[in-house]
Amino acid sequence: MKKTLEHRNIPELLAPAGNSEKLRIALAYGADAVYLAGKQFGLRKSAENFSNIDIEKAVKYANLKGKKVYVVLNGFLHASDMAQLPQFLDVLESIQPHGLIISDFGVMSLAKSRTTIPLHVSTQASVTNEFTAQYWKEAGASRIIVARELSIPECEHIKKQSGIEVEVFIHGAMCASYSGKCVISNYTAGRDSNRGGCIQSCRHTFDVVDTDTENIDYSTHIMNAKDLNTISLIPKLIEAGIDSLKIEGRMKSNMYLANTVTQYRNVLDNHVSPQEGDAALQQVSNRSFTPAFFENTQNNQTINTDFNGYNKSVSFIGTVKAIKDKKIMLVNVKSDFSITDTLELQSPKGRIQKFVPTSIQNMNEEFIHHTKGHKLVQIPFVDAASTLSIIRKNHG
Amino acid sequence: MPPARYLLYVKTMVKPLLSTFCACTEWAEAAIKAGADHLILEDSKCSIRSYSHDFNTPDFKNVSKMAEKARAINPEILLSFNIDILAHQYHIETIQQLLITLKESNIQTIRLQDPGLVFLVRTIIPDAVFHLSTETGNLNRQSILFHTAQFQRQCLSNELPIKELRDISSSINTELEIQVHGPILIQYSKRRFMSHYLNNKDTQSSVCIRKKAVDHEFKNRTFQFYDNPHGHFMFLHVDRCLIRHVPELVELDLTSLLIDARGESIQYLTQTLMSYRNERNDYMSNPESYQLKNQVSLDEISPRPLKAGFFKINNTDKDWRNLHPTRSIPHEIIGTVIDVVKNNWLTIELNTDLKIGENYTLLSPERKQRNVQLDCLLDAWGKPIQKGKEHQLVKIKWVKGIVPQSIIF
Repeated sequence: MKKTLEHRNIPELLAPAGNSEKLRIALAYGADAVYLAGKQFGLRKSAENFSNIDIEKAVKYANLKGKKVYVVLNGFLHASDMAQLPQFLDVLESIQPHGLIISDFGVMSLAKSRTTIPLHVSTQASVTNEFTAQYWKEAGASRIIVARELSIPECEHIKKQSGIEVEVFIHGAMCASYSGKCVISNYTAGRDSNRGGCIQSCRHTFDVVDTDTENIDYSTHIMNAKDLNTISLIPKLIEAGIDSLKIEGRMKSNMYLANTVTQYRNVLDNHVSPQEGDAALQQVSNRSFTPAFFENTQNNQTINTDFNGYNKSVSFIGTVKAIKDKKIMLVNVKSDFSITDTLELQSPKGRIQKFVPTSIQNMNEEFIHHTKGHKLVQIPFVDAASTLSIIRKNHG
Repeated sequence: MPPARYLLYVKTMVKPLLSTFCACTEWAEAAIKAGADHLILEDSKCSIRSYSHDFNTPDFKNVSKMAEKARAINPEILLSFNIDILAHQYHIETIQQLLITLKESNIQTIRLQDPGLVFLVRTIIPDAVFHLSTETGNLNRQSILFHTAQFQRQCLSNELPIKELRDISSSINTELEIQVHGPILIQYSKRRFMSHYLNNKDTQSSVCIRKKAVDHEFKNRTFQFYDNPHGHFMFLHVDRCLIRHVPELVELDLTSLLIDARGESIQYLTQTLMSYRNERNDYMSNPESYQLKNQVSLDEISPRPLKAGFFKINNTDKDWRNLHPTRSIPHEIIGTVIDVVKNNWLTIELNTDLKIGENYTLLSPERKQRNVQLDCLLDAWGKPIQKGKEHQLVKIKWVKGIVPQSIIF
């Protein structure tokens, strides 16, 4: 396996950036590229997202680091949305991100005519075969993010037959349906699932009722898709020649982002085995994992019907914002902790370190024993800590 | 030749075709006799919602029989075949076998959901004519225009309201179709949710399951669930019905009105077709005195309530766009408050420069707004500074009403 990894092109590791801080975390922890959205046209309306100025800064920052930024424009747009798009495309053309992620043919046409930016096809377009990959290629696409229902051989086949770059999702939440083929939210909640309004009805409990007797056969989370985890398949994905490996989660926490990027980076670089990486991924909140259809196109174990809450053994405590003289760390706190708690620090370059804070000061220099979330506090420096280190608590 | 002022402009109304699906000869005959102008033939192996459940028949002879029967009844009947599969590699051979049968049966019009399959179809039927029905997406003029290069007709999504349909119809010279009646599909998944749940049934089993379903969050709505080897389909608790809007439908200059009776009774099929045929013909023969007559008969045969859905209006993206408080701010966001020590300090994480002496606005998530002139600025460690820079943490004097996640601009 090591020989295989060493002699193949290592695919790009692509991570989500829901805001500027997450962009810096993703790149610091080892992502080769990030994807982000502007204030419109994406599918995560309640994320902070990026203003035009923020996108420009993001691209400049990435360029300095030799990394890439892709901008998401993957909604299915109506006429009123399209009216606002040309202006945004003109702004993007001046900024020159490294790609645009699109699922609508109208958006593709407009982007092709108004920009020189490489065009990627979103998984929202549910591309499942080489013919449709070719159709998109002729529309101007240089990369396809294939449907999450495909096997590794199918992905490899599409790449070989169409001659187009192929990107796959490797980790994170999944839709229960073919992406882009669900409008449940549109009708039940009046929110367009294909313009960022999905209320995730597929995660609800459903009574399944016999059509003749009207009796309830069973009540369960019948469509609650497990989370994707393909860390054990990284060698096979590399062997298949996949160009980019994408992590889902623009709305997920800094801890999820740092941990997920770290584990996949370490496996890609052959620093840890997939088993070690998987053990670390299992610690962070998930709905149970599945490799989806990558190895079995008829996999029937992709749904977590008995969902009783997320699986996790670590909690996100906070992010290190600043360090003074390797003596004091400023931590932006997300969850409560006390001076006697045993915590963990995950840094961009090192492993996980356990520590006990021993003192906590608020921003008025007052010593406190306990802090709540949404606070900034000062705690003693931990070796190997840096800005953007993640503080967590292990309950295992 | 009368003088120009005596000439009246008479708009020529184009009679829209009535199109419907069928998967057996009995339905083909019933549909034609009830007024269908266009039959969209189906076979379960390549048509994902056909309900004919002929997954185990190894060939497509039934398709040839349907075509033969239909042409015997009406030689002018338009025939197409619905290949609405999102094709995986393991489907290709089956599709190729189907295409050979279609070619032999002289069925050259192919309906697709997956647009790239035009390339596959053309390898066997080079002169094929294509209709596109993506079910979702394809909602704007530019997208529809794009597809006109390969597709002669496009069935537009149920999410398009009449205003947008009007704009599209009047500005693009192509054949257009909309579903006017029948179940509303709201989800399509490759996963067979019900088969998987029932003792992990083999996902390739040809057994199909139809159930109703109630979402615990929306208890007054009974959805339809349908599971077959192609996956899972979820339908809305109401059916689409535009019988009250026949005049508007005719005025839209659509090529085809689609009636979807799949999964229902043959009586549903024939009654619906006759109703729309009668209303269409009545309106077109005398628009001024037209009156709706067939609503009651449709209500009687429908197992679910009938609604126009999004045909009249679609506000699904109107009121909640501004979910994030920064969404509506027209100015550059200078920073975000990440800590508050009451009566003492606000700590701000900066996106860009912040200078002492300048005027700024603070806005809380609850939309409380405070204007400040910055007369004191410290770094995170308490040292006075004149200017803060991007990514830096700075402290300013506490402002009443400003909480964490407030922004400064």
